[in-house]
Amino acid sequence: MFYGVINMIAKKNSYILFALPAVLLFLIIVVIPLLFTVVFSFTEWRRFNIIKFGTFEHYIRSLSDPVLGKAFIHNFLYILFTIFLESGTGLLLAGIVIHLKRSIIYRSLFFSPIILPSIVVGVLWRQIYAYHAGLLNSILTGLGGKDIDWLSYPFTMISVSIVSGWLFAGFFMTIFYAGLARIPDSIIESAKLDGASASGIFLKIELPLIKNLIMLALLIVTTGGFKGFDLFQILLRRDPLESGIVLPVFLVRTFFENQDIGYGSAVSMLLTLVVIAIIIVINFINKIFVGRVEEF
Amino acid sequence: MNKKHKSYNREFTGVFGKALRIFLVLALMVYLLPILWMYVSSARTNADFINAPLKIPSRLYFGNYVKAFKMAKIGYHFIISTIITTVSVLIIVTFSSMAAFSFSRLRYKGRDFLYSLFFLGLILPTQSFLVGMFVMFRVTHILNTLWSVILPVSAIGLPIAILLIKAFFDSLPSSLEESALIEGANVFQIFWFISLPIANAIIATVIVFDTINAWNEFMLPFVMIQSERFKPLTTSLYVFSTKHSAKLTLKLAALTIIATPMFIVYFIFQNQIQKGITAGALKD
Repeated sequence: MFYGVINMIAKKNSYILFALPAVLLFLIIVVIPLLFTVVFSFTEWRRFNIIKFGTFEHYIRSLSDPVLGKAFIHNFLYILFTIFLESGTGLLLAGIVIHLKRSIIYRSLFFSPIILPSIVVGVLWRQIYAYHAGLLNSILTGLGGKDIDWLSYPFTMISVSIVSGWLFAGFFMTIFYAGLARIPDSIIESAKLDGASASGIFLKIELPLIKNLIMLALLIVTTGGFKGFDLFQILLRRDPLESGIVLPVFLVRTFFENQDIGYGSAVSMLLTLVVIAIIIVINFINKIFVGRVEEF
Repeated sequence: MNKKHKSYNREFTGVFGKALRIFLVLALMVYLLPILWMYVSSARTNADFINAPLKIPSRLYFGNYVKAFKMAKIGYHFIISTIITTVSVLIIVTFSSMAAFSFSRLRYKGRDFLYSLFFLGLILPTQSFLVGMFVMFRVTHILNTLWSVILPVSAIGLPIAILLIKAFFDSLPSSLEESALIEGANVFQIFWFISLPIANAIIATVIVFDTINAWNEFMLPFVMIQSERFKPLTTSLYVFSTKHSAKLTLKLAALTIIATPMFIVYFIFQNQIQKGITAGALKD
């Protein structure tokens, strides 16, 4: 990335006016509310009445909140599942379509679900998973199996992850495909002539050459795993076991339904810290193990 | 990018190639089954559907679409969604192209600091400022208006748009702009008549990405807009889907009405849309 020194055309301090609309909007809508949230997280504040400032109560409470603990565990489970279902499936599909002629139709169809709004995806899959008149249970009973309640314990998290995989596998396929397409055909061709097997080509030549994209996919899946709200909110109804509670849903429930601004802010800070920690760790791994991207 | 050397090929032929293709076709059929099921089921009567959700119906019933369109007030909420999307995308494109131009082509005090400010937006999840924003909107009575969705959707869209457009400007030499400057054009004229037209490809990408984002946004209107009057399609459909839980085929018909135009638009502009979504999501 350049830092614009090369292409500079003019200098004058009033030029800041060009950046001002964007900066002001960003400050007012993102930065200032962020600072508010930090302050609120140390404030006892319920139903829009401030009770006291300067308390660590929320952070202490969060350590022993069983539902919040469950939400954390579910987020990690969701990430674990979606690493395979989103990026893993995407990688597999990309590895196949790159070696087939006339693959454009497959690529565009696999990509297509991602353009749908989450509300369409969520309501459709809620019906697919439905106990009565659901697609999945109809197939199961047709094959002689028993009806399963897919959206409750112990299936909740895997069911939601499958929807995520269905939605995003095509997206990762597209990214990996672009990376694989950059590898010159001559490299693959000569490996084939040397008698390399298909799995050898995939594992020993293609994967190492797109490892930077694999790290990128991991970054997107893990940070995305802590931000996902829509599918959980739309697919699931609250159940006593809280079998599908995740951090973003817990957060909205706390500040929005229970109007507990203080605790909600603390939860949002925890979520932010986890996401930033993940970004730092993955960047660190990336620097050590992956290094610079090879260009062709 | 996709240079094909005619003398080489990486395609697998023979039995292995055929096996791969068969596997891919099977995977695609499983993948598309939910969508196919949605289309077929949405054209059946509710009683018929509940008796045999999997059966291929002998007779299709298209009354669901009319009923669902009326009951879910799809026409009305379509207009709300259109307003939110149009205004947000206009704000993002105008503000981000001006800012990106200034970050790439101009020099002034505090420029690099302001640019680095937007990197914050690339890292932060929306949830980290959602509570503060909710309280701020409530105090200023913005809550429950269209602005309570338009403003955050625009602000959240800015960082990626600025990054993409600035990178595009940085990759081009500024000789055109420089000669215009020597000819006596002012900086705003240069931005408007030279830089902006040059950047139209990347701006199209930004428009595609942010239009899809704004149109599909769910969490913000879910939290910010309670009044039925201002709900966009996404959250109004959510209410519809929880209310009429008995009429399954009506729900599926409503989904079909929303999904079909999106599929059509996708298959017409698929290259542009794929580029837009991946470029926007990759961020770096």
